[in-house]
Amino acid sequence: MGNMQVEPLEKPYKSSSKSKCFHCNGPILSNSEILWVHKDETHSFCCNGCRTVSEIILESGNLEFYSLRGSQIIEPAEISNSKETIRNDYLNGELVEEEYLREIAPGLYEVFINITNIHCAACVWLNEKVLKETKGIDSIRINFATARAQVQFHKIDIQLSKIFTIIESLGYIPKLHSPWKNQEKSQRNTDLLKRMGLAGFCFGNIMLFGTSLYAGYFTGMDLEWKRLLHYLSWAFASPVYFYSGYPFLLGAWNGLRQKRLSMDFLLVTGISLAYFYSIYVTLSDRGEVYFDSVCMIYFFILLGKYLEDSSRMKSNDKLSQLVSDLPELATILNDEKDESIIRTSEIKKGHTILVRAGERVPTDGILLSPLGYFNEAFLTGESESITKKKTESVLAGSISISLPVEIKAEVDAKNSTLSRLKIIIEQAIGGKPHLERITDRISSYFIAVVFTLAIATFTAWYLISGNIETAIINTISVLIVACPCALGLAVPTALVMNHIRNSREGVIIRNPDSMETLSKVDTIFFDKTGTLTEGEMTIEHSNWKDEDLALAFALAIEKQSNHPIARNLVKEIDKLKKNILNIEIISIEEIPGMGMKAKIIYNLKDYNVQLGSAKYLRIQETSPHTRIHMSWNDEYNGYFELKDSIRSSAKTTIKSLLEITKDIALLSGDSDSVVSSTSRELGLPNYHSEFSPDDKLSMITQIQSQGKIVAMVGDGINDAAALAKANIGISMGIAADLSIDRSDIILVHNDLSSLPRSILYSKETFHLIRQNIGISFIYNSIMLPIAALGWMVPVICAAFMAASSLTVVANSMRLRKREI
Amino acid sequence: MEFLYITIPITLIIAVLGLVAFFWSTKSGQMDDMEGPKYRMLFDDENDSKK
Repeated sequence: MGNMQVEPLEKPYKSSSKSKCFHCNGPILSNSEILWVHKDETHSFCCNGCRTVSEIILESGNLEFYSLRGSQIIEPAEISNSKETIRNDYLNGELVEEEYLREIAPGLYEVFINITNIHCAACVWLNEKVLKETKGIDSIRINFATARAQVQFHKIDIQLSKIFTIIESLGYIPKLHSPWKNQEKSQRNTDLLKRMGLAGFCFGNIMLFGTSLYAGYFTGMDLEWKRLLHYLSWAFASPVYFYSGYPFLLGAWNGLRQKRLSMDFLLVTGISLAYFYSIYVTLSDRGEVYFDSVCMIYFFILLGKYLEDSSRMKSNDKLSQLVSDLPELATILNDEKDESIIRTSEIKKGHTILVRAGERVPTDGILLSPLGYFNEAFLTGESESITKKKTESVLAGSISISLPVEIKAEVDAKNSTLSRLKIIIEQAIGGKPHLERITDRISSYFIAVVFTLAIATFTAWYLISGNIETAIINTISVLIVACPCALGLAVPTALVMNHIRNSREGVIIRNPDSMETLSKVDTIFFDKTGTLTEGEMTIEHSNWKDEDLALAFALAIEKQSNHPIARNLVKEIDKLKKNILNIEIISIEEIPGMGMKAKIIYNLKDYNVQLGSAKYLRIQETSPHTRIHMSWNDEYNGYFELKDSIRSSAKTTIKSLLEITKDIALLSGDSDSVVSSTSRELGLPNYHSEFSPDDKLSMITQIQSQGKIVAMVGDGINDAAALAKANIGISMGIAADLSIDRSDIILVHNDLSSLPRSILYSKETFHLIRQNIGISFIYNSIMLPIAALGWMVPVICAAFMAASSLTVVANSMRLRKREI
Repeated sequence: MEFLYITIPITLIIAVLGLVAFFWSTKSGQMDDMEGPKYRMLFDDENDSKK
């Protein structure tokens, strides 16, 4: 939320009327227009939520909300209607008071509330304004960057639950924030800011003195004044050397203890040499001081570190918004349907959880209620509700819409998909990719070289000129001018920027090495069902000799399979609402890539059933649509013809990808007629049909043996082996079956078009990194000899070194701006 | 040039006051929200007690 630019919504709405919702500016769908008359003006709204909020706003006279909002589109307001007395009791109870409230004065309490769907200045204004005017609230201040409200209130006048209710009535979602989480990270960030601030302050002042000293150097200066300025410079440089430089001193010391030559050590040596030599000059009145170099170097390096740390923090924030927080509490039911409230972390497998309307599911589970509607927008970005029936699985983090449901917990809360995803994301961003380890090694060589050069310079100059002062100065020059900053600063910065860009698009890179591999990809293989197609199939038509038996068999058999086709069939057959015959399955076997085989008893008769692709039943397939055939007791009975819609973004994605590499193919287990027509429709140059999962695996291996880098895009469930074997495994969304562990990259928004962009991003990033390394190499090759030869004073060296650091970091930050 | 013995300390004190102000504001969290002031400027209501 830190960046307040308008981001256009790209939802595939088809609105008939040209009008926009008066409140949120979003399109009004046909048939759902809501009108309201206020002071002789009729306003249209897209939903009741927006209308209600608008009513509150207009009737309290806060019309300015709309002029502040401007033309941005905000989310239509979601109002939760439930009277959650249990939640209110919790909010007003002791647990919350202990952990979230702080008494700052008798009766005056402070609490931090995350208002999670704030996204514009108008939202902040509205919340602050309404709450400020509420009795009992002393002050409220909302941080724009984090959307966190700091509220101070008198407990006797207003209860925490009422504050929550007010925020909700405006259409926003409040969540308690524990101020003790993440404190370490922001503390580190503040520390960096302080150290950098001090360094900058002292640097500025020393340069002021320095200007006089430089002038004096050229035109002559009385010793008295020179001495004064020297002592003053010393006084300013000291806090910088010890306070601002403390992390570097520590780093150098740690490196020494581990017997490593670290960059910190190089830096500290050079700077210490400058600092102590300057003290000697100050005390002995002989020569020039270099205190300004001490401050300047530390200032610029700290600047770089601060910027990098800030962007890391921002991207962490963004990533954790991507994966929304789980609810703190959950309601569980015991066998007598008594409710009790426990912490989400205490949920165990097997618990029955009650999720009320508007609440979030706390952990992965199976639906016990006959019906439920869920919003999985936190994951997929789709705000259309998903209907689930009894025994279907439900994901932690999804919101139950309008219906309370009971869910049996399948896993402990910390093992839910969402929790594990969070851990993966944190690891991905904290992990050190291969590239960084290489640059670390290069840094150490570089440092060793510079050190040797410094020693050589010192020895040579001393021997040649016999003047120790000259020798020292030139050594300082060498040490200061050497800048491995491209490696230490710019590479991590570039990688973090790239991570941010990707996560904005919902592309989660699980394995940091993948970024580099992605930039070099040669061949891309696609799975068909669930990847290029939506995976939501409907039965277009069917043709059976004995339909009742067919439906019964198919339903029973496919219920046992996890294949997307199977799940769709089950859903579709259920939809038919026909009376299904009662049959009994004796044995069942799934043949991957082919179909299912089962032995069934019905009416005391045995049936050997085969259900699957045409290839499996050994018949000819001619239809361009996917057909599932069935035969029993060696007699062919008929088929379902399924229609699967191709993802709207698939065609453009393929087109963009073709510009990157021509080697793109579709690998599918479907029959030839289906696959060829799909490929033609999408413009794919190559395809392979009737591929079993093993065939896919061997195809990938074969291409890899040619030395090519292979990426495989699948839905994770059935392509597990292929995804793992490919150099980069990319999966769509997160199926309940956790493709997370098997893929390197996850497209959380199910948006194929983010793939070509991601590839281009990584190409750009690594091109940039190579650029930076090149710049750094050229710079060092030129400057080091010049410094060693004594053609530059240390101050100039420091300036050059700073300039080169800044160049390289600024170059990396370019990445953030570029959007493709 | 003796005036330097007076002017430099005076200006130093002022400068250090600025530094102290920087440290104080960082510690009290004023540097945490860089975006807010941009928008708050435009809000119409009277600025009542801040945090």
